[in-house]
Amino acid sequence: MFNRKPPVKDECDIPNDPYQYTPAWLYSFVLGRLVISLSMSSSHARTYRPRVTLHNRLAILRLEHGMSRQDLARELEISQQTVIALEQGEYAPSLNLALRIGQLFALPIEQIFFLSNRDHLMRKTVEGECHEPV
Amino acid sequence: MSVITIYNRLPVLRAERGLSRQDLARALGINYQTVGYLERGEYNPSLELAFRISEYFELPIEAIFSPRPFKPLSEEVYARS
Repeated sequence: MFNRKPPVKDECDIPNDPYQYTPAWLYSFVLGRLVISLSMSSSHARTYRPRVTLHNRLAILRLEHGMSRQDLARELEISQQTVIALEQGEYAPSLNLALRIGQLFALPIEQIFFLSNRDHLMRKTVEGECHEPV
Repeated sequence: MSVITIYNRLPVLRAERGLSRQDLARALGINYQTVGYLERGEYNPSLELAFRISEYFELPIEAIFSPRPFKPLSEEVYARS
């Protein structure tokens, strides 16, 4: 198909351009498949990517309390990997774990975990830290 | 990790506000049957859902969910100490 020689009509034709005579439907077919596969892969990724809407101050709180990851893991009866995943925001804790974390640091859950974006986090943090209205 | 029941005050809060399960479900964007499961403690919400519930009732999460059973709200408010 690609090697089909173009019938040379006159000198002006480019004789050795194999793509000149590739049918248009083949281009559209290949392009279509590419678009479909790309969109499928991106939607697949979107489905399976963890929804990072939850931010937390775990790492800061842990350091404030002078605890290592191991200490925190032992206190909460979870693995060290879970602590790392929590701190990096890769893993949303269960309500039960969140309640236990709140108890450990003697803070309301809202002071440790924040929904949605970073601005929200910053605002909440500031609100939590200064007790008088600015 | 073992399954731990989390006690909640959802039925009280809903009744206080005169909401049906349908109303609450619609406000939270969940199924009304999920509200039933939540109220009976048969299903522990995700932290995100807990946040949405606390935002809806404008109460801290600890006031709605607890690992220990709640005392009756009337007792906590009006008890003669």
